[in-house]
Amino acid sequence: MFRQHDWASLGLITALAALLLVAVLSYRILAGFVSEAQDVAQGYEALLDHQYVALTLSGEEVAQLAQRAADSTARASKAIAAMFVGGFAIVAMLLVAFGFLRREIIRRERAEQILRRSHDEIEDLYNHAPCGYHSLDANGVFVRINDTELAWLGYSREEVVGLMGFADLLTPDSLATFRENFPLFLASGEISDLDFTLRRKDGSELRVSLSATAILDAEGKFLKSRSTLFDIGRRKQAEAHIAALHRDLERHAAQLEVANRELESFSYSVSHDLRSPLRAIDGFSRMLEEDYAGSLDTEGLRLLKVIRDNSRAMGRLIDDLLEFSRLGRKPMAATAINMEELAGEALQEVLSAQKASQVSVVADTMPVAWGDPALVKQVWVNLLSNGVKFSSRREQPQVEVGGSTEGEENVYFVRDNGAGFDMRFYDKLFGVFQRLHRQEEFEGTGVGLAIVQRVVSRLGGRVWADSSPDQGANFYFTLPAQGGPS
Amino acid sequence: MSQFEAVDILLAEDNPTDAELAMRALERSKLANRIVWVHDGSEALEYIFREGRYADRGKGNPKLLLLDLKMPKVDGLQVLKKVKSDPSTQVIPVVIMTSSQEECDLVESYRLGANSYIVKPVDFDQFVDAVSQTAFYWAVINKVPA
Repeated sequence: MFRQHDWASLGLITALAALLLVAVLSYRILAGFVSEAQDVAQGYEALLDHQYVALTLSGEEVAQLAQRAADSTARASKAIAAMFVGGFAIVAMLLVAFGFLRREIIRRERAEQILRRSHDEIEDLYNHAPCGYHSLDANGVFVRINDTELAWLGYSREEVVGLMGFADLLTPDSLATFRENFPLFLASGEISDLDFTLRRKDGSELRVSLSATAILDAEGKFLKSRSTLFDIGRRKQAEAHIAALHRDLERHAAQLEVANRELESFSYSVSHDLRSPLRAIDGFSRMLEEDYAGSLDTEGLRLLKVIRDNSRAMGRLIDDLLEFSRLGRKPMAATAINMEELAGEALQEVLSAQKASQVSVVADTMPVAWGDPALVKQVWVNLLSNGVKFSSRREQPQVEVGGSTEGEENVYFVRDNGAGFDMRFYDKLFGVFQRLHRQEEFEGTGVGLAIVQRVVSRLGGRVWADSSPDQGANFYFTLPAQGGPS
Repeated sequence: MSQFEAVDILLAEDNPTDAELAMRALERSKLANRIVWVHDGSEALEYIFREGRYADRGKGNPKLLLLDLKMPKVDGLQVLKKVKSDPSTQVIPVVIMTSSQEECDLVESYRLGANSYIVKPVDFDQFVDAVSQTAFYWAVINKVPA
């Protein structure tokens, strides 16, 4: 209750009262001294008038008189001193009181400044918020609205507050939403995330999301709302955009489905329908050969052989091409692979298929790889098949396999001491149907390495080679190390 | 019954060239005392179930059905299904002989009860080999209930 400025005021009053008291006392004392001095003077005068009385005065009486004079002088000095001290005290008290007052005034000014600044800040926060703020009364009429919302709507404050209701701004659909929800809001005191479409002054549409809480009066009755408005135009646009993208995506996915199915049936056709005529060509040439060998000379027989050889070659081409396309479509498993075992199996198959028993094989250790065993086996088969095939002409054909870990991947190799190839044509090495040797030298369709490259890159690795003519060839491929990405 | 009795092989093949090659292969292996060639699935079924134009054929099932998959009217899988679901014809060994290597055909054929599945080689010698071995095994060595 008693705050500092009250004490100061009290101090001031006390000081003034004291001043008054001191003044009065001083006056009385002074007056007293003055009258006393007058008395003494009168006494002297009286004495002087009665000189002989003075002569007859005893020394004692003289001394008494002198004493009394001295006393009154002393008292006068004391009084004057007291007055001065009192005066100083009063001045000091006044100064202190003044100091308190000043401090109070400054404090009060500062408080007012802070209050004003705080008020301005709140005004600013309210008016220039990035969202709309408004308050509606129980009838839905605007009682307050911030600058942002006014700017969004294109109205001035004078046009809105007390004159327009929120409902007046709504499109018919939104009006229904409002009529339905406002009573609920009045009852419950809160509402959130309602979407409305408002009409600006210029007639254009504004899509907003509204949330509100209620301010109640002292009796708990609804006074007005505290409402926030968020412009969701951009969000709605983004949603529409996403929906459109989604439809595009679905359409593309459907197209891909169709394309895939067409590809499947294409492969199926190739697999089935192309083989029949080939079989006929080969078979009937053979029948001709068997049944009419007698009527045919060597040249005739040779011609027939060419027909047969070519039909067989085409058959192999079809098989390889199908294999190549199938590799792209097969789903891939991902497990740890014992490469030493797998390479061993592949080697057995290749050796028996090519009837190449005299190839000496050197198998180094190999780290475990991560991928699809069936596909990786295909890689080994193709590379080893090449290695064995191209070294078959040597007196001591040799194929070496091995692997090592380099960081996050394993590098495997297949080395042969065969015919090798010219590095000038390296970019053709892995091309489909591209060969670097003639059929008379080494048979083949030219798809083997293309398959290797396709498989290895599907598995997340790379393949490369180096060689020089007649110096053998080294083929390398990488695969993720065990536990790596599939 | 003697092991080398005359065998009835029913060849269901729509392609005349393939049929000719197959029959030649069978003749070569001297197994084909009686080969009946039907041109499509519906004819095959007529023969097996003694209907239509084959209503008067002698009783008894063929010893082996060499069945192509892609045939007009009724295709191989439908024939297979019918043959393998009828108690009186279930026991007939059915060997699918087709150009198709597609996994789906393999799966479906075995699911419907095919005894064997052979992909017709392009190479004639291999083809002859495959056909004769098949016929010899299924129609001669292999036993079926009467």
